[in-house]
Amino acid sequence: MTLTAPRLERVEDQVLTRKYRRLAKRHVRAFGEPRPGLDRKAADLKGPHPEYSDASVRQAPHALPAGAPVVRMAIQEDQDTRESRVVVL
Amino acid sequence: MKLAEKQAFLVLQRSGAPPQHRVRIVESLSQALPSWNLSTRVSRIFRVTNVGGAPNGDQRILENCHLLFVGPTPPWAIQGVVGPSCQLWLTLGSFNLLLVSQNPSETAVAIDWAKNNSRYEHWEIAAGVVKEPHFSPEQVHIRNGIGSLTKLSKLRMPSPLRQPVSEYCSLMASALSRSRSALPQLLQDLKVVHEETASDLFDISAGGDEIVLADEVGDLTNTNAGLARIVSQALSAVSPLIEHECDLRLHSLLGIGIADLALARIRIFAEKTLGSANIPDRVAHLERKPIDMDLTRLRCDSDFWFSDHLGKNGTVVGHSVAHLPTATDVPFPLLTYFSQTDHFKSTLTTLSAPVTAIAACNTVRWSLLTLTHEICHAIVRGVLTTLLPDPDKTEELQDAIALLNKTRKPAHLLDEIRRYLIASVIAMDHVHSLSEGVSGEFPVDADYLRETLDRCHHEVEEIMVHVMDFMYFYDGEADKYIPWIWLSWGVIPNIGNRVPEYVLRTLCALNAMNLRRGGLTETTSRDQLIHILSGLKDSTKDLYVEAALKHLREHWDERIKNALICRKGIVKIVRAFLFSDSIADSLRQERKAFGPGSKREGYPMNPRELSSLMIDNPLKFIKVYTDSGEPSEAVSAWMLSTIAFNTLDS
Repeated sequence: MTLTAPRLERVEDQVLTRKYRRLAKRHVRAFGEPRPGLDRKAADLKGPHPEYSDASVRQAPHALPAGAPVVRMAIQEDQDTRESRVVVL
Repeated sequence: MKLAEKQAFLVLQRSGAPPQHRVRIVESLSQALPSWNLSTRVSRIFRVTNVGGAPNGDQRILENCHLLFVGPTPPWAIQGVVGPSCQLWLTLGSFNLLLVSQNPSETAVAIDWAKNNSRYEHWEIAAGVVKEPHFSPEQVHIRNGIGSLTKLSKLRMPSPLRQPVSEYCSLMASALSRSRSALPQLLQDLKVVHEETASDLFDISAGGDEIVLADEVGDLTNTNAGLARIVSQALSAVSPLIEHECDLRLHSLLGIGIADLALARIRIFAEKTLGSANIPDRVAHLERKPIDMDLTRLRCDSDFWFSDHLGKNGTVVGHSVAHLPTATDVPFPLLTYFSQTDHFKSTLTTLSAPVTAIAACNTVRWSLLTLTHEICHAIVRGVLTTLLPDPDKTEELQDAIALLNKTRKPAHLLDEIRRYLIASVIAMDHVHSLSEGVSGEFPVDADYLRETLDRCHHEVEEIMVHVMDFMYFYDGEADKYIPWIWLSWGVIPNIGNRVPEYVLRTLCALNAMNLRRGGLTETTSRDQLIHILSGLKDSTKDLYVEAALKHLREHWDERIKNALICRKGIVKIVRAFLFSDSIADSLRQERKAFGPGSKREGYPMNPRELSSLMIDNPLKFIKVYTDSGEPSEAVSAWMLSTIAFNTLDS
């Protein structure tokens, strides 16, 4: 995330261009390709998001080392609009 | 000129003693099946009425006659040479017109016309037997014309790439040579695909930096799969037809060149509008803008979320367009094809649609408008490479965490968007620990973030794609969007377990249009969805729709509401930074085909009427004419032919 300038150079072309495809290859390698169509295939190796599947398939949480950075978050209601939103505290 | 309502089949097979190629026209597939043998090939054909004179249903005409295959040619162009004793038929192959006549002089006139205006193949039929075919002479001499293929085949490649490269060379050689004859409209795109692919492969051969072999093998495998389909389906109809077979059984005689050309036209339109808007670039340029606010705390009805940040007059990126880098690359043309297995799918080099759409694209369930979802995937992937940290680079993951827990201050707006996106992903992952008014403390290190991105990435991408598709291609109209996506899901078997996911994504898309409602955003989206799905359930009896309604009613409070709130940040990001009204305008316009009145939003054509009227927005055309619940082969063929031949190039 600190490499903003080089990143910018690397995407300085149109969608679907050669440079973009090269950049996106990394992305596809890391995360896989989306399932066909609007999730056209029933089979999906990773399965649905754990929060939206049976609790039994939820993966064991990653064991974090002591002293790992902590993020504080909450769902807060806006006093004016009564909108509920996630805020980072 | 109007297509008859019912399809027919042209049947070719070797039979009799001695075996000879015999041809006939039958009214239905069931008439062809009893005599089907190992050589039988068929193709759908559609009688063009109001032209020529031979009566319909007179099958004797094929006993002793002339068949003239012509194309690719706009149907209206041949109208003047169809004699009074001729029958004219429309096909979906690259020989898209078939003239049947018992009159040799009328046939000769048509051949003379075809020699100067198109490609042709002429069969003389005697007692139902095909005599020696004659065809455009230049077709014999066409070669691929790309010398670099030979050079490429001789390159010393890493072993995992050797076979894929050999396969690529043979496929591309066939595609280029066949395209010159069968579908010249695809030739330029194929050349660009080859230039880009060859350039990548030459780099690999030279040991270029940062090349990951697995990526290249994957990329080339997708390219080869697309090329294989194009060669064997769209480009199968090369002369002599008797020797070249399409691998789709229902189209094995003439292929599906025109259907494939229609797909390519749709892709080109999206590329020239949404693609050329450079959305990933525009997002990347938000790093030029300072930021002094916490986006997680910005209320959802703030004007900030509705400003055209990417557009010419964007309030944040006031100078963005003028200073955007000029694109010097030619966009990579995704290889378009129909597939029996891939359905609607996009990769970095291909874009596919289901074969069923060829005969049923006049229905919402099989509409080609679903391609827009795939096109959005390509763009969102580009944007996410800018917004998400590289999971292989620990320093990028750590920097994202520093932004998140505020040990590093966002340097610009792009940083703040990245922070908001990561915060949303963490919230999605901890939705059960988050409740109204109760704060949670979540340890986050690089490994955890990597795993979480791996788990949630797919859903993040899908949410972004749904919001984008809804905003750009459905104008944010819930009553259009919801039936279209839910009916298209309805044709996929065994995805009932995914209904909760689909409900959530649909709600996220609706939220993008309801953010102004503040505290009522989520419930408004819920009520809209329930209302529209209820109507759909009554009219279609769709099981997934029924399951969705049940899920919405039973799990809103304890599951759906908070999940939706945790994903609202992603919705806001797409609404504000991937959507632009000025870009969307180019997708809404149809400048050519407007007639008087408001019927069919100004399109004057009637379904199945072959008009010479041009259109410049195939997506709008699809939206307007996809209005039936029942598939019609003839209306679908008319739509594909119109998109293929009536869409302006620019």
